[in-house]
Amino acid sequence: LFLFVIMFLGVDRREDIEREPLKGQRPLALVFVAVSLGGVLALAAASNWVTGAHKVTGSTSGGHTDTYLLGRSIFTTYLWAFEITAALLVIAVVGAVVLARRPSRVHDTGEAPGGSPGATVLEPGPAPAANEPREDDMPPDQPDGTDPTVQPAHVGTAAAGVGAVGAAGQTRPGEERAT
Amino acid sequence: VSIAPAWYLGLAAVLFSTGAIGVLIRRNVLVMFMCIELMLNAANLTLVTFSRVLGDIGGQSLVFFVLVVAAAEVVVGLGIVVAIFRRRSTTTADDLHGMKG
Repeated sequence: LFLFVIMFLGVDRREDIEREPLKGQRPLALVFVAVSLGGVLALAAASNWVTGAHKVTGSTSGGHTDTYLLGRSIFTTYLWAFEITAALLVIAVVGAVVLARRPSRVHDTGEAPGGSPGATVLEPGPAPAANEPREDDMPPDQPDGTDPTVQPAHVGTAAAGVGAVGAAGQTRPGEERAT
Repeated sequence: VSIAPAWYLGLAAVLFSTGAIGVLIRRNVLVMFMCIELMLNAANLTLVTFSRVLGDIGGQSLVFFVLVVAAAEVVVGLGIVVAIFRRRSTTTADDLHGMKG
């Protein structure tokens, strides 16, 4: 999965290692990690282990195999956690599908002619006072036309300001000013 | 051949430190995700080690749940990364400093 996403996003762009917005973050991180690792190792070497009671839920020395014990432990002791885990997986998969789905074309009626050109522009938009009264007639999950590979057809035929949104979706010229 | 549990713990500590360094100093979101996975797996190694030392199956059950939760986290995280890349065409964490759109 990682390899797929790395291939998808491209690894050829090089990470500029020189640019450092947080001054001194890198050596501080190294020192912090080294201190914590050294502390843990020193504690492990210098102290004796005080671990709690043995074999509270399931013993591994009962003559059964590990797989049998693991299955019995999961399906008896941790059954509730197991069910919650299943629900969590389902939710995660559905969420990933929703996130990775391309924006559909159901916004065609509400996007282009309805609002003024400034209504769908996020960063290079006008003042917030001019933008404010139109926020209610926009759908909340409006993708604001920033996907240039899906919606160039109807964006190009729309008003000129909305066409500028499709052009600005890739580079975002007003990024520095807006933040 | 039986290996002492201290070696497993030391390996887990080294793996966790590698992951922590990666999360702290790398800027690519994908690399940070992989380092988070590295830290999770170091914790899993510790759990399995203690489960074996103490003779308790609960540690291995917990590893099972940790794996499942890590898989869910990676799925959602990569979905977010792909969505961000589709809008911003960047995967660098420093460029994501705006909460607006």
